[in-house]
Amino acid sequence: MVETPTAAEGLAILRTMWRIRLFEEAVEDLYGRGMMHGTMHLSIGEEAVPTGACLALKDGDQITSTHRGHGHCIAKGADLGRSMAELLAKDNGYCRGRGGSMHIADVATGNLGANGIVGGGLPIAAGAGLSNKLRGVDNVCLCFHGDGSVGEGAWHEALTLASMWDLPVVFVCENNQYGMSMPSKKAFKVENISDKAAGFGIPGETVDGNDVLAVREAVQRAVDRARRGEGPSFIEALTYRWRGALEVGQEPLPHQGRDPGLARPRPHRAMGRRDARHRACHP
Amino acid sequence: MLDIELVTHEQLDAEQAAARQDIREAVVFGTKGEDPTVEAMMAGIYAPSPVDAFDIAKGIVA
Ligand SMILES: Cc1ncc(C[n+]2csc(CCOP(=O)(O)OP(=O)(O)O)c2C)c(N)n1
Ligand SMILES: [Mg+2]
Repeated sequence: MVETPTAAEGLAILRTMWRIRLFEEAVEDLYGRGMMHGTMHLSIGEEAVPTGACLALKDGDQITSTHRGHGHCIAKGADLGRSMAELLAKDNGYCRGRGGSMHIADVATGNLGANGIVGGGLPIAAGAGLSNKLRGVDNVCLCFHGDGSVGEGAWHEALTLASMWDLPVVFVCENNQYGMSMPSKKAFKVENISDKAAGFGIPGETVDGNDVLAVREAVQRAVDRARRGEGPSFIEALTYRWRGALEVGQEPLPHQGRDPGLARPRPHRAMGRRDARHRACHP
Repeated sequence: MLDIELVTHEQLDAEQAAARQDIREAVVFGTKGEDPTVEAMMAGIYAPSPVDAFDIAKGIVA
């Protein structure tokens, strides 16, 4: 059963999700007006995945991110001003404006970087896991990646090494149903992407990525396992992006209209909806 | 959270407003930042050239 948060925890979770949503809405505005350059991938609709996942981390843990990584950065504790400055290519940004949206990194908070190369974060996560293991620290690296990266060679190599060496890595696959315009249902002949993990001897699980508490719970279990030295886990979080694949005038794909919990009057969808008290209210 | 009376509408409004204020401040910080200098933009991008080819091409060294 998914544990209900305290009021303070619940509000903090919502604050993070709101920060991600509003950060990206501001980015969309600035980008649309020609004030931001390069390309831009928004994760609006997917906020519950990084928010829930990063709740399972402690100081010193790392993440690797993707081309759609603003939410990962913010959930890992990035400074919003320095992040915005980076996207605006300013000198006071995290990478002095040279990384931009797709290559923002903040090693100090354990954010090993967004990555314009689909699947590029996976070998980096395996490397961070190996480093943690060799240094004898109990830190864990959370590897965010999209469903589109699952066909990449780097994905297979990283899972192979992580499994073989029992590396403290938790692979979090954000399955937003599409890689560009390719539906993941067509791309993979398995019911769930998480089923593939078994082929590497890695425990795999699929969770509702729009349920922030379900994500937290699954990732927490995997992180605890990795800290105990028992090796990697794979979590597939089912979600949906509400904007186009990239912000260059593409139309968003038709969606089911599920909100991760920021639209009222349905915020309980994001938090505690399966808990006993909620069931008591909604028998 | 509303349904199980964990929080009130007012608390949610306050949380959303606080997040909005955080983002407003981030936009101010970001837009007020300086553009990096050309030197800063180029630093660390290329390995040093054994013959200083770039500097020669740009007339920086003879
Ligand atoms: C190695 C590589 N191949 C192709 C691309 C072009 N590309 C950019 S995003 C993308 C789709 C990625 O899909 P997914 O991993 O599901 O992430 P999503 O965009 O859905 O968040 C592709 C193919 C790339 N950036 N890198
Ligand atoms: Mg995808």
